Amino acid sequence: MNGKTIKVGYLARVEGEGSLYLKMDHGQVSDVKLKIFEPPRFFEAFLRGRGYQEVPDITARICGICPVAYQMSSVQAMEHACAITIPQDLLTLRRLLYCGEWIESHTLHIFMLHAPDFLGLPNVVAMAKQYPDLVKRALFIKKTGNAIITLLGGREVHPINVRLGGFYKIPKTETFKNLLPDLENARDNCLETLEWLSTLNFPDFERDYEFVALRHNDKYAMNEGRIVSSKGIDIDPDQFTEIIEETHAPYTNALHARIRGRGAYLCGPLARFSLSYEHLPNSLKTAASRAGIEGGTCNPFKSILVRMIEVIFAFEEAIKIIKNFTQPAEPYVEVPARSGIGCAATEAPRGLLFHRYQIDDSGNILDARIVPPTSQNQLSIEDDLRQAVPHQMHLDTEKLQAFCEQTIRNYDPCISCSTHFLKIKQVTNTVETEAFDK
Amino acid sequence: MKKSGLLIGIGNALRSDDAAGLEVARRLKTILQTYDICESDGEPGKLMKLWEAYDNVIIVDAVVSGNSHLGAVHLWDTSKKALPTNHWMSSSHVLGLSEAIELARALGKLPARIAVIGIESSCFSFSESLSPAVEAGIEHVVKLLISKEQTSYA
Repeated sequence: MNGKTIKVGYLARVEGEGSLYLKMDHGQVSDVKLKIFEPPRFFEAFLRGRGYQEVPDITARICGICPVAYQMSSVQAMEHACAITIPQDLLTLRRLLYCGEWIESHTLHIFMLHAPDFLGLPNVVAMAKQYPDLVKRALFIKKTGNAIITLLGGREVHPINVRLGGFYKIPKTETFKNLLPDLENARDNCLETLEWLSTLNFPDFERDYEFVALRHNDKYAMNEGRIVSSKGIDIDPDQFTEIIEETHAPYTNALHARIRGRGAYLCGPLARFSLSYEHLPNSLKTAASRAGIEGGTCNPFKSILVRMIEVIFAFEEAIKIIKNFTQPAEPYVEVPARSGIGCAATEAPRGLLFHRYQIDDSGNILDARIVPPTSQNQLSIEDDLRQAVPHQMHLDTEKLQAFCEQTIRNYDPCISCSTHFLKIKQVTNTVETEAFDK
Repeated sequence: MKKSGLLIGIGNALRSDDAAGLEVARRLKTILQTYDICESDGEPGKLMKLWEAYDNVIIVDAVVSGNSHLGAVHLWDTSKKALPTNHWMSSSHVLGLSEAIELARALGKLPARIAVIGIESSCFSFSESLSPAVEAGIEHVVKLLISKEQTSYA
């Protein structure tokens, strides 16, 4: 064993261990398989029979990077099943919690996993040697996002303060206000960083994606809104399964999601940015324009810029929420059980996260379905590789391998191993690329 | 009152032998006189925050060298030399301990004296039980550190 084994349980539903098989014949990709071989973890199965109040704590364990997303989708789906409307002030606090997660998750990916690709460096340790101030800045930004989750969620990872109907306890007003200096400082750091990121060298590559994301009438969507697409979908979250189908491919343990009758689609930052662009504050539209992505981008390599804009947005939003914060009358509203089916979709950092539950009169869960963003993006990742790699055949084996890894990391999938992901071998007239992280 | 040194036990209590570092920290918490004791999941930013006020740090963690018997105790002085990179598990989004230490070194945030004690482990499945050999390794490390402290003040 060489030590490449999962050490802690920060694995998403199936996105822990993955590999890539990519075969080239005569300059074309003849086969590409993104393989997720992390064994199924059966969360949907063992949710059955559990109490409806348990969903935020159980589903938070699906992912150590985006537990808030799982909590938000699960509680909102359950509240939908119980026909309970949550007061706006509590919804706003949920949005604040989500801001913390977007900040910490995006910052981790931008600096620790994605930026080294653009700099031709193997990992963040090498990056820290050449760009120490940048990495110090990243750690500060991430810590600031974590502070929001720690305060409102009760702890940094797998928060414990989220419950059906709201929160167990709302921190005191002054503890929120105490976050403001660091939040404002970190936001300013991010604006400077965006300018630096926009100077990176981006491959000239665009695709005609069908973007799918939540969209809200008057704000950049996080945990409220309808599911829309750039090619005409406009549905309530409870219609998700009418539009999206999941199928099993033999080479991967994660289900492939596709739009019925159409095929692959893309969810995540690029989709949100394009579909909710109008709701960004003018200052961020100006920043996006300076970064060369005004109105949206179809270049997946520029997702690093979009993530940075979303981090700045999350800081702006968190600052606004905290400045306007007044203590809610109650930390939660009661959510009495009743027989029913409830659905919800929220925007995890990586994209749309759909939950659906059926419960009985006593609140026992009869059925659960969870569709995470990485499984929704699998086909799109493969299509990116299929179309982008033929333009890179002039690269030597090592650089081609790095390009394949970078193309996958554009999506911030949980399968991406931050340092060495691929093993590659060259055979006559063919390049076979096989990725392993162990 | 802050003590002169810091001992950090790293691990996940729900992953069998991965709890080895945590277990050492828990057993020494009320015994060591010159070390503050804390537990961590090993995230680099948090480690740097934990040790920023200390010049003398000991880290205890489960390792998989693959060339030692289960429960064997490894000791590395990482003040000036990098840890082996292949003894720690990594996951999609988490840097291993060796990367965390090198990241801190590159950023000038490494304590002057930092040692890593590794306990050879093998089982990382979902469980709160330790392998018997790892349990013995934990006890060995506990005695070693108590003895070291007593010797220092003899």
